[in-house]
Formats: sequence, structure tokens, C-alpha cells
Amino acid sequence: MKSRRIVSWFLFALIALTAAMVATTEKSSAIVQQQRSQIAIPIIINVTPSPLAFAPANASANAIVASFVRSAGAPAHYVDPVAALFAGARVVVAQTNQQAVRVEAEVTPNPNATLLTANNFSGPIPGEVVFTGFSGAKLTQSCAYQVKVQTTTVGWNLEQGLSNDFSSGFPGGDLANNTYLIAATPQPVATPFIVFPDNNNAFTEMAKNGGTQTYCVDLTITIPQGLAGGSYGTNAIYTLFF
Amino acid sequence: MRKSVGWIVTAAMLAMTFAPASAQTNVPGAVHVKWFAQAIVKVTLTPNYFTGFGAVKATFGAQPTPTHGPDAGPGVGQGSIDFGNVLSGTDYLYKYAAHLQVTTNSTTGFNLYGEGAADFVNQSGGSEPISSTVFYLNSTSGSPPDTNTGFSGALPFQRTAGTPSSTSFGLPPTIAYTGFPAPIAVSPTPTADFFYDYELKVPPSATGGNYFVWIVYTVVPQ
Repeated sequence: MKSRRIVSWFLFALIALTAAMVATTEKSSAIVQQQRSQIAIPIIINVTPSPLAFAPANASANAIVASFVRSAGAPAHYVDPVAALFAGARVVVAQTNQQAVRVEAEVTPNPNATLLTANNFSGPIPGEVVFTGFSGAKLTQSCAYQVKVQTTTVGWNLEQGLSNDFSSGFPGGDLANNTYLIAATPQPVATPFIVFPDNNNAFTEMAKNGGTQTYCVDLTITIPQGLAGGSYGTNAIYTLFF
Repeated sequence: MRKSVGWIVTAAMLAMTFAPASAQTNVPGAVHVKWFAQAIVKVTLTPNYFTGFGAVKATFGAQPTPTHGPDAGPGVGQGSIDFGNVLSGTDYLYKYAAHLQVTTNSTTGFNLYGEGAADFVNQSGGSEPISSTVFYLNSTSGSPPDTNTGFSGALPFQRTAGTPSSTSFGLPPTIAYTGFPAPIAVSPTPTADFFYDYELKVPPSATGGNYFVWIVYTVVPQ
């Protein structure tokens, strides 16, 4: 009788332990997610007056030419014979003002490349976002680009952030995003991007969702007052986990 | 008669030539000399210009060791900027890609232009827009070391609106301009050095194959 009771307790304990282990395993797999894809969207801010502005300049096509004006009262031998030699002569100066270098790559298609993509950029150049404005200006691009997750996975996480500040005097936080599902309406307010190295090397969660989803990203940039003209760049990084 | 006239003229000319300066009347006068000097430009482009050149995948944290494709190097200063094998939908940085040493006689400096002679062309057919695939960013001479990563901010190369002399794989082109694009750099001094890394952002939809583009640098004195 006593041994039966012991066996029953043992079986009960075994079943309870097994159930606990199964539960723990399921919980672990639900929490631990792997990075599946990461994309970077170049964001370029051209601040005017910019050194990138069009400034046509032509190399002189003339040869070296000397001309001289002689005082009317000066005798003929005051003329510098060296200068006279140059007058009207064509002197060719060897120069090379163009050089080229070849860029190559062997591309292999990546089956996971379409898990996370960015497309439908509002600007003229596909694959990048460009703002142009004066220092102190506040500029907005509505649905500057779309971020698309394309998977059948039920539960995934999408994180976002900037790779770097634009410069030491132009923090990445001056760029704010308003991110929303393409079929929905924008959020009430835009949120400044966090910058990965300024945020303890961490991104922030942008969305938790499942299946195929497309987000619109409105961008607002506030260019610091007194910022020197030039071109400033960073990347908006999106990382998919499931 | 003719002979004696000739001697007289010759004697007179000799007398004028060898006449002592003190015997002349010196009349001071201003001499204005205008020089139109042709710009002298020398551009030296050194690919793979420092030890450790090559491509790394865009990664946060510890950076992988750079590698490169077979057409880069093998030594420093040699070969193409060959990223080697890359995956579509992935970004890469190529460290120590190009060093430009520019020497001019222009005291007001010069503009540096850098453009693609074409798009990023797949030799098996098709192409990807260069402006969304091949980028450039400032690097160092190697000392201090280059700290860029594949996520560092970079600017895109544009496909030229000028006329390239060639777009073939084996022939370095020049570009004939009727108007210049926006310069990639402006130097206020006659000479300057530029050190660039390149980035490659391979589009997710890129088909497999060997891609290439010639980047042409042009210097125009201001």
C-alpha cells in the first residue's frame, strides 16, 4: 500500500515536471527571436548655401600669352625681349584632369532579401531620401518611403533607429518619423529617431505585428540654426525579428 | 654708290646698338604685362590605397575583416574596387577605396567632380541605378585608421549627363562635359588630397551576375 502511494507520487511529480519543462520551452521560444533581415535607408540633408551648389568654372583654354604696353616716350630697347618672345606664342602645358576607377561586385540573389524592404520613395531618387533647405528650416516629406514586411510569420518585431548623427552639431534626433500602417492614418505626433550609438547601441521597437504589412513613414527634419552649408547623411535602419 | 649707302646704314645701326647707355635719354615709363596662365592640373587616383582595403558587410559592433574580389589589388594601390561576392538586399562598405591627389596652379582652388560613366551594369544583362547602389564617404589616409562602417552616412554617385568615351568593362572612360554637375568636393587651395570609402547597397531585387561601373573623377580649377 505504501509502495503504491510512493509510485503514485513519483508519477505525479514526473508529470508535473514534464509539463513545467514543456511550458518553459514554449515560453523561451516565444521570447527568443532571431534577426531575420536588416535594411538601411540613406537620408541626405543638403543644407544651403551648399558647397554642392552648381558653380561653373572653366579651365582657361588659352595658351600662356603676354601682352605689354610701352610708354610712348620709352626707347625701343626698353621692350623686354623675354616678354616679346611669349607674346602670341602658344605654350602647351601637359595636364590630366580626369581619372577613372572601376567598381565591381558579383551579386548572388538572397532568398531572404524580400522579407524586409523599403520602396515607393517620395523623392526623385529611388532608394534614398533627400531634403534640401536652409539652416533653421523645418521640412516634411509625407510618406517619404514605405517599409514592407513580407512574411507568413504570425508574430514578428520591427525595430528602427538611425545609424549615426548627421554631424556633431546636427543630431539625428532632429529627424522625426511618423510611422503608420499604409491603410491607417498618421499618428497624432511625430517621434524623434533614436540614434543607435547614442542609445547604448540599441534600437527601439517600431511595431509588433504578423503577416505581410506595409508602413508609411512621414519624415520631419529641423535643420539647426547656423549650420554650415553642406551635405549631411545618415541611415534609417530597420531590423526584423521573429 | 649702292655699296656706300649700305655701309652708311650698317654703320648707323651699329652705332645705335653699341652706343653707351649714358649717351641715351632715359625716360621712365610703366610697363603693363598681362598674363593669361593656363591652368595646370594633375590628378593622381590610387585605388585600394592603404593596407586593409576591402569590403565589409554592414554590421554594428565588432567589424569583420575586410575582404575583396579577385580584381582588387593584389597589392596596395592596384586593381579595381572589387567588392567580391555580395548578397542582394545587403549593404557593404569598401574601406580605403580611392585616394585622389590633386595638384593645380589655381590659387582660388578647384572643384572635384565624381560620377558614374553609366549605371551599375550587370554583364549578364540589365542594370541597377547607380544612384541607389554605389555611394561614397570620406575616409582617412590610414592614419588614423578608418572607423567607418557599412551604416556610415554616404552620398550616392550619379550617372553622368555628360558623354563618356566608353562604357565597356576594360576601357577606362573619360567624360566630355557641356555643363558640370554638382561637385563632390570643393577645394579652396590649389592642392588637396581626398580619401574615400565606397558603399554598395545591393537592391533586394538585383539579379545575380557580375556588375561594374566606372567612376570618373574630374578636376576643374576655379
